[in-house]
Amino acid sequence: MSHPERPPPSQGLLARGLKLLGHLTHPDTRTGKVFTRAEEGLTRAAAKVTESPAYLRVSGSLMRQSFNARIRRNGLVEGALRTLRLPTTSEVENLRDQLRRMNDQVEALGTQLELVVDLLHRQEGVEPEPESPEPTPKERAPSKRRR
Amino acid sequence: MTASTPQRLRSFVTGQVELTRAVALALKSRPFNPYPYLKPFIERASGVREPPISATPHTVVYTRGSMRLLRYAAPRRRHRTPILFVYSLINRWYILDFLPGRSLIEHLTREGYDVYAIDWGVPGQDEERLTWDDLLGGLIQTAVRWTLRVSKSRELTLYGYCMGGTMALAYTSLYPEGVRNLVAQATPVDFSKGGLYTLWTSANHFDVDSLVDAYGNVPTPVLESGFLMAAPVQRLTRWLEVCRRIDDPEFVTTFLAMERWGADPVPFPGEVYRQYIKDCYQQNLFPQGLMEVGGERVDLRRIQCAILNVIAEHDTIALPAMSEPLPSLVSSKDCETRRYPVGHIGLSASSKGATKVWPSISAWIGARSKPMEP
Repeated sequence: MSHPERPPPSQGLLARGLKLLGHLTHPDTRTGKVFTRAEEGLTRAAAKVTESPAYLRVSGSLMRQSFNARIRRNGLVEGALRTLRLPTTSEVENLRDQLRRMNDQVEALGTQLELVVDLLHRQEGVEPEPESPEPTPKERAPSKRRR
Repeated sequence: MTASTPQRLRSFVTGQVELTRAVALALKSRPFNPYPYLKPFIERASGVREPPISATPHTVVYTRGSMRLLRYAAPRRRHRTPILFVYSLINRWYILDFLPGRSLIEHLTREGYDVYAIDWGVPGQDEERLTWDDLLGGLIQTAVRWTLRVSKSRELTLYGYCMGGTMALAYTSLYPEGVRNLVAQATPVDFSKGGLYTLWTSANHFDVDSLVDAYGNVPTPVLESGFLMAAPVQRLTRWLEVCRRIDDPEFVTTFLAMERWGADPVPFPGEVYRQYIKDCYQQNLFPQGLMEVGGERVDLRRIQCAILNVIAEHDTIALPAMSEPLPSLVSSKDCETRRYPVGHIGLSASSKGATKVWPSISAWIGARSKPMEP
């Protein structure tokens, strides 16, 4: 489908380039068959390496060394920053976390208050206002928070 | 009327600048996942934008630390018994509410269930010392109480997914009150049959203590590198399919949503990880009833509620062999295993999910839930 005023984005050079790449690597084409064989070979090789005892031994030892080096480095850096009375990276991160959580708590508090009001109404024997089949809490737009 | 040459030129330059900026941003954080590098090209070529996260309307019912309890109210509630999702600590909960029309949570709310989900959030410094006891006896127990309170029910259906299933089983074994039904979806139970992951986490070459001591929480690059090494070639070559189908906005949207979710791991709470790796993967204490939480043994034989053991036949993360022993480990008289021809994520996000998996699971839960009083 084409539009005279605004060509669809897939007509662009980038889209055509990506489609060509996809076509060339499709298993039905001659180049794609070669690519598929190469992919299978690489997968087999990668599986062989990642399951080999030598790889596991070497990578395990390297990881342990780097973790231990990090433990020592962290201790030195945080110690130096405390001596200089400067906030450490972890303290700044912690503060950021606390702010984000406070925002969530305020949001939850609204819902919880609605629940409390509903319970109080019941205790007082006051009929709550008729509402949708679903009682409290009322729906809101999806939360925008991601991280 | 066609766009004038200066307009097209301006549009072209703006596009290139945006593309360069997006790639530069990805290069700055240097994640292992190819998503941040390749997404700008796919978006530019297809004109499709990232879909919103968890589009089904929901409210935050409760928060504690980084954890949030979310409520997805049914448009027309038919079941008194609510459903509480316990998701894994490795990725984010929103795969359960993947895309409009392709969401397990949306499906269940339309079926008349009051649905709740635990979002573990992004663990920070406060979660470094979180233990399994805090997790089960603190966070999940509080989530259960709030779910029952808000839904005005005495019992619920606990729905665990992946590691969340392991946590749900451990929780029900220790705190069975209020759990009417339990759905264990793609749940690792026998960790000796975990394939590559069991091999990689073996105590012979994986020093979990130094990892947790070095970082506090297990950082995302460490977790990502594990998944990358499990399928290093396919991680890149699967992007070729979206190149072929760049003209298909629906496919591109689904693909980007899936890759975005896969590229959004969170740090794993350190102490929980330490015990999980040691007790489950390295010593396989969980199915033997020897794992201890808060000084008490997690004995699956204490579980007596109705259980649905959901297995994905093509699962490469929680291999079917890991979940198969569950019925023989619990005391439930009503324990059923159902197998579906999908992968680990396919259970909650594939096109087969909406037609084959969810109606079947929903019917199982429905038959064991209390209806709403007239």
